[in-house]
Amino acid sequence: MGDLKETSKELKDLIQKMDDLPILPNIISKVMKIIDNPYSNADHLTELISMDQSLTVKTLKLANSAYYGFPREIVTVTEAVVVLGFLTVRNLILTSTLYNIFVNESQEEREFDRRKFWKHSVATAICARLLVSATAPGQKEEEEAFTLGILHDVGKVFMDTNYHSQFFEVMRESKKNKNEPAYAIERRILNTDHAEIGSMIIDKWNLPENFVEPIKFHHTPGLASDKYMTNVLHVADIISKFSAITYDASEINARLDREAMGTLKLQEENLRTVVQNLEYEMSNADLFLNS
Amino acid sequence: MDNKEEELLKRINSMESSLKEKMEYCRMLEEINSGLRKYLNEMTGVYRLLEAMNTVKSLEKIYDLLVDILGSTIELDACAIFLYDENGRDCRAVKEVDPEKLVKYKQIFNVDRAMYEWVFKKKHIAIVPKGTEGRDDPGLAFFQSKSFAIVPLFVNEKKVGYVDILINKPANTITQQELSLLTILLNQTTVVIENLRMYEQEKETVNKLRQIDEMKSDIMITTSHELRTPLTILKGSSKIIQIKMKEDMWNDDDKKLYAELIHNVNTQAEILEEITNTLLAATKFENGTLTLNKKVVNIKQMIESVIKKYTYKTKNVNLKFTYTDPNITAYVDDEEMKKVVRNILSNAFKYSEENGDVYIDLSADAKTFVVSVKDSGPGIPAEEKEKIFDKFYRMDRALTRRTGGMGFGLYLSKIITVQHGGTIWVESQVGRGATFYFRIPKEEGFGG
Repeated sequence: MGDLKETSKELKDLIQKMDDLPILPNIISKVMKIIDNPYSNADHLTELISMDQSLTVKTLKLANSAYYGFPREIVTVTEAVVVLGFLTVRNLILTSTLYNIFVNESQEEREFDRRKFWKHSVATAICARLLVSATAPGQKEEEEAFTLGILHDVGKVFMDTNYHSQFFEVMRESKKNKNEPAYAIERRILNTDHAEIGSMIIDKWNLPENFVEPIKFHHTPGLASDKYMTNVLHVADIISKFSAITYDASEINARLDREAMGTLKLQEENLRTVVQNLEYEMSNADLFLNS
Repeated sequence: MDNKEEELLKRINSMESSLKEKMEYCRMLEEINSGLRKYLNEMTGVYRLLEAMNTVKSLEKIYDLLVDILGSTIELDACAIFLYDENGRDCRAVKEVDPEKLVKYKQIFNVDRAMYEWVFKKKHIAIVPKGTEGRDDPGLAFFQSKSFAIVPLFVNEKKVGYVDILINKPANTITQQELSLLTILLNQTTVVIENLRMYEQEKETVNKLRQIDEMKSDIMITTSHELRTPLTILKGSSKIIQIKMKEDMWNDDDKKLYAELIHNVNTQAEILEEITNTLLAATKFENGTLTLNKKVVNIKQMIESVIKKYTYKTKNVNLKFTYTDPNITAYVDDEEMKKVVRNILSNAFKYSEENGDVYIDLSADAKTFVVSVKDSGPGIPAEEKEKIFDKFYRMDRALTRRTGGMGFGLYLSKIITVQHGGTIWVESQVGRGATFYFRIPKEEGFGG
């Protein structure tokens, strides 16, 4: 493994080579393509998913989970699509696929706790959806926010897998030095951070272009041009971090970026609802956490 | 095979493949063309709706248009639009297309309350899945050539209603575009419907305000007009007294004149007092601060005391008082009850002919007593009977000019009766006099 403390350009070249990057299963990009075509129907999606038996089973398991709370059993992928919607099913597929890459495929015990990491990603996803629902509701936007939440720290997985010793140093440093944010330590040690790497992975995986900015700037939302989604992701990330410790809204509120909160037009009482709902939805999200 | 033949075969092959290629292009073009046509059709639907948003001012027309557009953009078989009332409680169908079929399929797809609750919670369109029961029933396959969609209608966070739609194609072939088109069309329509409803409500409010405004002007005009007569008499009478006092004339004629003038002053002051009291009572009644000072009252004695006060004014009318029982008592406000009797009596006197008869009668049953006053006046036309108890109402007849006085009396009587839990009404035929009745519960809690 090379030393990453080189110029940023070299780093990018490295990533372009894609050798170290986890490969996104072909099926995901096909799913993305189908979802992108407005004239696709449930049959098209079902045909694709049913080629992968385990994915079918996982998708249905998630569709029937308490999180979606549908009053009847959803028995086929077609039903999942027409009931929950195309974008929700896309998220189900993405979630179970990424779970495999992020959690299941990490062979040995590592310092970087993949389960904890996954729980944070799911919490951020749920929280991002709740934030959109509280500030600018719409199914499409809510599902997009969910996807971003699942993906936002993908760069960390890359670092852990490919630059393990440096990433370990970052974590050790971060534990000692509470005042310096982890992404700044990453920059110091690796000359890049997980947000930047994450955005490049999104690009490489051919995921929708509008995912790049929110992921790249989720720690520095002021730099983004797509302010709304970036702010959503930024706030969701922080809320889910603190909600691992507390669901007390006023305590969480005190730690949030005023500017991001202001742009989202989020009052403390909206925040209280979001935090309460997050607590409730996390209790229903077992299947997401162990899919 | 010689070279020529080989050449020819080559050419044929190449032509064939080129033809195949062209046919493939044609097929693709056809596909694009039909896609574009479909898209154009859908956009036309959206455009028509947007256009109607600015021009159509009738809810019915919007519902018709929506159904029309749905019919031309998705394969609509049946549908029903349900809207909640302003309180968000009652939900009723405002537009239906083939409702019987819809009900039938609702049963087949087993669309239950839980489905609707889920759709409202998720706030987006859902197509009802087949359900596990009878999944392998070949007979059911026929029904599944259709699909049943539920679309919740929201404006901002407010639940406005929902739409049941039966689509003439199986759920698995409905495209994303069709689903989002349905959502867009229905969302836009919901906004239009809400705006129109608000517009209607505003119109109603404006009308009410206008009525109140008109009533206020009426009150102003009537009050100032009615106050002027007693005030003029008061002013005139007191002026004469003033002049006479200066002249210091005290002969017998003057004494008679003084008596008359003082009587005028008294009477007019009483009228003024009555007007003011009625206005005050009406205001108290309307803002709910009118209170009664109840005690046990002998009704016969109460009526007699009113009559006594009136007799000196009633030279021209023969008043007869009858009762079934002299000991009828009731738990009422004595002073307020007297006002009712006085008002009805004075009304009877006003409208009775010279030397006419006025009958006052008291009767009772176990729970209530009834007082009736019959006059020999011109009577009241049927269409006026309800209105005469309204505030400031007075029949627009030449007679009123003769009798004067405001329409306050009957309105005040109604207020007092209602406040006692009783009722007041009139029976009359034009030309045959009128009989006013009021019925009051003898004890608290008994309706009249």
